[in-house]
This record gives sequence, structure tokens and C-alpha cells, in this order.
Amino acid sequence: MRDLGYILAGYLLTGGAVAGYALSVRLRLRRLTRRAQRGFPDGGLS
Amino acid sequence: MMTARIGRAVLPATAVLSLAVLAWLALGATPPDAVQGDAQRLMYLHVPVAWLAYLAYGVTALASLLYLVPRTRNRRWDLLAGASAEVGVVFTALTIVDGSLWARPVWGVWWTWDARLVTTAVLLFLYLGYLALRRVPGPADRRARRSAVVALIAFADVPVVHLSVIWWRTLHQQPTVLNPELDPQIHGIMAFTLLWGVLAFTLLYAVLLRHRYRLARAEAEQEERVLQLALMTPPATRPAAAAPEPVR
Amino acid sequence: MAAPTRPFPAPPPLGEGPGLHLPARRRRPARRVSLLRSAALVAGKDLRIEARSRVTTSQVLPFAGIVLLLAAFAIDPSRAALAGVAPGMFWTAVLLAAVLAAGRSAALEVAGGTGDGLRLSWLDPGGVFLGKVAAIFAQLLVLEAALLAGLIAVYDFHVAHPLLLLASAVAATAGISAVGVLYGAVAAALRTRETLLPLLALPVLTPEALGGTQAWTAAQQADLGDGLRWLQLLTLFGCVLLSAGVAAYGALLEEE
Repeated sequence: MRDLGYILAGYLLTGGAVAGYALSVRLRLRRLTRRAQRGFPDGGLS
Repeated sequence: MMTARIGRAVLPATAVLSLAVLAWLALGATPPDAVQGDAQRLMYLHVPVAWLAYLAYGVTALASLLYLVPRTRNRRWDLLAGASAEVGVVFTALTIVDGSLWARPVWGVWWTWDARLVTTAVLLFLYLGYLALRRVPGPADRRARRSAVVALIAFADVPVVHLSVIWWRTLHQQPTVLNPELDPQIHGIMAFTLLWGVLAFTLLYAVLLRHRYRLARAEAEQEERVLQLALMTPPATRPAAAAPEPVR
Repeated sequence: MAAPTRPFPAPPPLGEGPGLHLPARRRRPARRVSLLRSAALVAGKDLRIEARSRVTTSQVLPFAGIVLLLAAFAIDPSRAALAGVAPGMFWTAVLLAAVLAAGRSAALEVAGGTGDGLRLSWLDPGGVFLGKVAAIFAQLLVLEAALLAGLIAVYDFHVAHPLLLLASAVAATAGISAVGVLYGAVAAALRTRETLLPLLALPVLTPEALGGTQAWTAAQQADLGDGLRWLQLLTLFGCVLLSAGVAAYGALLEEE
């Protein structure tokens, strides 16, 4: 396929970015709920 | 509940599946463009992601409006606005990157100063500013109100981005589907794949939005908890030293 | 890290609870000062403060001048090239100066505590907005006049159509002032104002920068070309931004 590099870069970057973003949201959520569960009144801010 | 967890997994599973089908359609089943060759296959990413960014910002604008109107004011609208804007920023960045990767083999350049590209870059900055504003601490209502005002002004750029190729002479091509004559310039399996792409990315948007909204709610609840505890704790048992003012 | 002395209460559902409860209707003052009178009062106040403190003339104007100077160094100072980029450089300098002026205008309310006073007073919020816009507008016009003189002297700027120059400057400055006051209010009481205000305001000001540059470029040439179209665009934007500001300013001033 001509220009395969650009095409692959596009598809992989898009997929990676989306997956990475979803993961980052999940990580932030997990960190928050875990802190609350562990009983840090300030959410671990201290 | 188990059924709830399965139910919650349906949407993401469908989204991933439809995206996989899109990849197969776009990379394999659809023929290459007569003029641009295979590079045109990036259109099946670039166009859906751009449209979904518009949709995301539209949701942000609508939610912001609902928050500003006193009768419908509810914190949930504010959280939804923020969540949708963040997803929108991700999609706008992808629009620019995919567009750039498509432009390089076809136009010979990574970037050009035409109206479509410039207004899209401005769009990205507008919402990066919005997201930065949301992160500034303060009373929830005031924060929500000022964010809402900024979101509504920022949304004005969305029609400008779309109409830029019509108003100005641009290197970027004219709208393939949503042109003034409403006469789509795309047919057959390419049209089908493009439509499939839009649907797949819409599902993806819904998944990401739901996820991000859940995070927003958790953050808001955490904030409330911290506030309530500070109000309830008698002075003697309050944490010894207040944390030093964070450097903003 | 103190252990909690009792289990957490469940947080109230969102939208309810003391922190988030909003009264259904806000009581409006029965008798209110008119929009124009409010505008005049606030404009007068801001201009009097400027007359006494001279911040715009002593700080913002030199800043804009330095921007023009630096920009000239950044480009090949051969005279032919400078005249071509003069309009762009001018409006870039004006935009940066305007952001500074807007931050200052908003800070006046916070520092003096007058923001609360304005909130509680009988003044029409739309009028307050227009008053502040008028004050900044006047200061920016003075600044632009001074910069124009510098432009003619240093950038070899020749004006073929002075009316277009003036009209487009007025239209652009109106829009710039509106954005400055509105976003100044958004960022007013925030500690990150200095960095946040430019980030918020400058993307919104790109049409003003573009329109101003194009109109002034047309004003340099014998043939007007697209100049009038750009003036129309600037006027449209100015009106839209002023209306948006009048509508939204009240929402920003609203008390909790």
C-alpha cells in the first residue's frame, strides 16, 4: 500500500490516544475511589 | 449487581467492535481514492473525529446553557459540560494529527495557514483554556457559572470552523457531505464506510463521555465530602496544620 | 494523616445539600438604575482611577512599544519588509496590551472590594459591563494613536485610506474591549489570572487581530480591495461581542 507509514501512524495513533485517554480516566477514578474507601477524610490530600 | 455490570459493558463492547469493523472497512474493503491513493483512507478517521468534536462541544454548550438558566440549574449539567469538553479536546487534537498525517502525502506539507486549519487550531486553544479555567479552585457554583459563560463563547468557533472552507479560499477541500447544496460528494462503499465511521466514533464518544462523567461526579462528591468534614470537625481534632496554599 | 473520629456521612446527592442549594428565584432590586446611567457612572469611575494612577500611559503603552520594537528586530529591518508586516505587528502589540489593561480593569474591582459593591448596588449589570468597556475602549484608542505614530515613524507605515484605518480601529477596539472586560470578570478573583486571562482571551480575539490586520493592510494600499469587507466583519464581531458581554456579565456577578 502506498503511504503505508502515514496511514498506519494515523490509525495507531488514534487508537492509542483513545485507549490511553480511557485508561487515564479509569486510573483517576480508581485512585479517587480507593482513597475514599481507605478512609482518608481529605481524600489523601494531606 | 452482576446484570448491571454486564449491562454497563455492552456499550464499550459495541464501540470497540464497531471500531474494529471500521478499521477493516477503511483499510481493506474500501478501494483507494482515484486521485489521492491510499492516503485517503485517513479520511475515515479524520472526518468522524472532527464531527464528534463538534458534537462534544455542542453538548458542552447545551449543558452550560442549562446550568446558567436558573430554572434548570443543576450541578450535573456543569459536570457533563466539563466531561464532554475534555473528550472534545482529545478529538480535536486527533483531528489535527490525523489531518496532518493525511496532508503530508497529499499536499506535501504537514501544515498550512488556511482558514480551516487555523480556526481548528483556535478551537483547540479555546477549549484548552476552558479546561484550565475549570481546574481553578473555588466555590462550585461560581466556578460552574464562569465556565459556562466561557463554553458558550467558545462554541461560536464551531460553525466558523465548518464554514471556513466556504467563506475563504482554502487548500482544505470543501465539505464532502454538509455542503451548502446538501449534495454529498461521496458515494458507494466509501460513503458507507464514512457513515460507519461516524457511527462507530459516536459510540466511542458515548463511552468516553460516560466514563469521564463518572469521574467528574466522583470528584465532585469528594469535594463535598472534604467540605462537609471541614465544617463538621470540631477545632480541636482538625488536622494540625492547614496545608500550605498550593502554588497555582 | 488523622484517622477519622467517626464514619463519614454519605454526601448529599448532587444538586442538593447546603453547598449546592440555590434559591429558585433571585430577588431583584425593585428600583434599578438605568443601563446608560450605570454605564456612565462606572466608566467615569474607571477613567478617574486611570487619570490618577496613569497605569495605562506609564506601563501598558511602553509595554506595547517594546513589543513593536522587539518584533522589528525579529524581522529583517530592511524598510520594505517592515511596512508589509506593520499592521500585523501593530495589532499583535495592541492585543497583548489589551490583555494587560483588561486584567488591570478587573483587578480594580477585586482590590477595592468594589466588586461586591457593584453586586449589591442598584446598578444594572449590563450597564456596568458597558461602562468598563467604554473606559478600556478610551484607553486603548489613546494607546493605538500613540502606537500609530510610532508605526509611521519606525515601520515606514504609509496610510492611503485614513477613514478605513480609523473605522476599523474603532470597530476592532470595541470587540477587543468587550472580550477584555468579560474575560477579565471571568478570571478576576483568581490567583492564576495573569496566565489564565491571556489563554482565555487571545483565542477569542483572533478574528479581531485578523480583521484589524487585513483592514489596515488594505488601508495602506491605493486600491481598497477587501478592506470594506473586513470592516464589516469587525463591526459584526464588535456588536456580537458587546451583546454577549451585556447578557453574560450579570451571570458572572451574581452572588452565591
